[in-house]
Amino acid sequence: MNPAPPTIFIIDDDASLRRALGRVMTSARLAWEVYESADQFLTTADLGKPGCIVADMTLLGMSGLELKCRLNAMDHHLPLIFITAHDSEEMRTAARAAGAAAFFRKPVDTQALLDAIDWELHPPSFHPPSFRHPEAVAITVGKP
Amino acid sequence: MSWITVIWSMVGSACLTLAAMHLMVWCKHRNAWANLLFSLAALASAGTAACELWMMRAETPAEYGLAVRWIHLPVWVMILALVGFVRVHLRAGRVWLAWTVCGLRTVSLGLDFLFSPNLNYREITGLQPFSFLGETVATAVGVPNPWMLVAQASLLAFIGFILDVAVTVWRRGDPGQRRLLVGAIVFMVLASSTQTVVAMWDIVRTPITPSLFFTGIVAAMAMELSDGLIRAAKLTAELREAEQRLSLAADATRLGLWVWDIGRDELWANAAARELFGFGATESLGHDRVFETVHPADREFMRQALAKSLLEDDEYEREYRVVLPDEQLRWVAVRGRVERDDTRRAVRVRGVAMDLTARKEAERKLELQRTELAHLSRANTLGALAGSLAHELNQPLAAILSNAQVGSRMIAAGQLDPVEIPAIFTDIAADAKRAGGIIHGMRAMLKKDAPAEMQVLHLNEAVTQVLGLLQSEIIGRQVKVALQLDPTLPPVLANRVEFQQVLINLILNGLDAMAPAPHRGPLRISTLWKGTCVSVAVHDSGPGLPPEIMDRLFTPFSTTKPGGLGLGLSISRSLVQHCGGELQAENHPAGGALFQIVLPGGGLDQSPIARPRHFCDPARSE
Repeated sequence: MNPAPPTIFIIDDDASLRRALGRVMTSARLAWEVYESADQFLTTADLGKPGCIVADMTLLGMSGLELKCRLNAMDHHLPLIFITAHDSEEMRTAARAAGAAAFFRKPVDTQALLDAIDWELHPPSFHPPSFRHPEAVAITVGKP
Repeated sequence: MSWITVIWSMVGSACLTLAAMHLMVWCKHRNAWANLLFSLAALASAGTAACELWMMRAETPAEYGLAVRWIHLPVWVMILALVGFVRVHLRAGRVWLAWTVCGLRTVSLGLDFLFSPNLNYREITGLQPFSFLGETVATAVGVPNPWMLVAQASLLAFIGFILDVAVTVWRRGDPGQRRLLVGAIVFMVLASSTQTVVAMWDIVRTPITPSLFFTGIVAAMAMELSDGLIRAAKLTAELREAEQRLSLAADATRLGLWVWDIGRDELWANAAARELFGFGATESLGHDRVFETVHPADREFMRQALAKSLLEDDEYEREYRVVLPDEQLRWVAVRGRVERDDTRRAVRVRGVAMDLTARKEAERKLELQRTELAHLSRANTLGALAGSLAHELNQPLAAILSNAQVGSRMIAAGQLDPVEIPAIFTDIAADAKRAGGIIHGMRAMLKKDAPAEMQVLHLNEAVTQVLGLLQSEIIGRQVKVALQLDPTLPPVLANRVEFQQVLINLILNGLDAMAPAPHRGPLRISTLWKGTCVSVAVHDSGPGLPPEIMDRLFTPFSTTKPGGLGLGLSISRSLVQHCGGELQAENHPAGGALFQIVLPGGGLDQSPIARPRHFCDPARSE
């Protein structure tokens, strides 16, 4: 386990939501950083930090999906949780294919999100196939 | 039974009758000179016949001499009348020759009355009886007068004149009737001349009977003229027939016919026209009476239009409203033709008038339906954008939920941060308002407008707004948008909602075109100011427009999309035209389809473009 505290990278183009999610992370005593676009994230964030990405799929410029693909290509394996208003079968399939950790539909329940983040940051040693939360569409991640 | 008396009397009275008839014709139509000349010729014929009878019944040489003297007068009239007739009616024969003939003949007449006993004889020594038609008639014995040659010269000239006419008529290809007439005249003249010369120069003993020949000429002329009368009668019948046909057609279609005599300010209108304008069936009409019926709002314009037409145009076409006696309103279309005299002054206007009310009503209904259709299309588009709209609404809702949940957590945990808690509530309120704004915007699109108002529109801003609305749709389809807005773009006169509707339609079409291969290239959206117009272009990186659908592109109900209605482009085009612009489609040389919305305006010296409507717009009257 990594000694450094994990950082939650929040990427969303809506300012109000960024603020709200920041408050959520603060109340859960998690360190967080906000970015308004995937480009900004890639150029300014320290990708070496441990943590988790919470991103909208619909972003200005590079989309959330493309970001995940880029990260995969760059061999960065930060878990990425998608929150999006755009819920459709194509989106879920694409998210799954890119290797996203979870997929939430907006408006997202705070507790469900925090639980999912917790799951990613502290993965249990076994992988039960059951879903812990009804709102989360869990996607099993192949971890060694 | 005196055959001579009978024949000569008959000839004389026939000629007199013909003369009287044609004189009456001339009295009614002072232009009918041919008829007058004929009349004179017939009179002359009768006169000649009388003189001949006198000659033949002469008992003394003195009497005979007097008769011969007097016969020159009707002969003179005959020759002049004949020459005149040929010139006026047949329009043939050399003028100088005609004058020569008339001159010589007049001289002969003068000489005739100068000499004693007459021009033909120096002296009549005696009368010799001659057997003619079973009777004895007088013929003269005497010394011929050499001055007779003048008369004979005029006769020669006359023969020359007539032969020239014959040649002309033959060469000209006149109808057979004419040729017959000229032939008859030639024959008669030759025969008569021969007889006279032979008799006067005592070569053969025979009475002189020019009247018979003259009557032959008169008969031929009469036939020619009566032919004209027959043709006139036929024309009258045809004219009546044509008038009846016209009346029938006009009545059947309730077409008003009118003729306005400008000089006398009298307007003739048929029954349909009178009914159309609400005139009485027998009311006398003029300029002012007609203008009384014109709707007050249209009156000034109509006055000016009429004045202009009378001055410059030859055709006159206007639509305006008429107020009927019972206060009812009616739309009429009036179309006329101005007839001018030689000085280009307008003397008469004749034309038609039609009831347009039905058509105007249909136009109005069509306009309403167009608005309805545009509205339905907007609603449909909005439905297609449900996903994007969900996204737009979900942003503030997600923020509200997270804020509310975090807020209650903090309060439950006793963390009453004096800065953070109020901030949370402020954000919640702001987001709620934001959501309300989005819904309001949607309602604006869904609202059924009155025939859309034109506004001053900043296109770049409108385009950006549309892109904001479609953002999630575009990203969802994984298409890149390349936006190029011309910073110098001036504002134009257009309807915001309609313009945005068209743009959304074009962008969605572009996205659909690129669906199979979204990564091939960007969807280029650009605005450009071209001096006299502005253009908003959507250029996709799809396969382009196949040539076989190019002409059907804007046709309603023609589509290449399965499940598509095929109305989007046809509605879009009609909306752009409604703003006074054009929607153009073509294949871009670099590949893909290029759609351009071209709107007029933007020029500094151009006044805001008004819709090309007829000035008498029912919507803006009263």
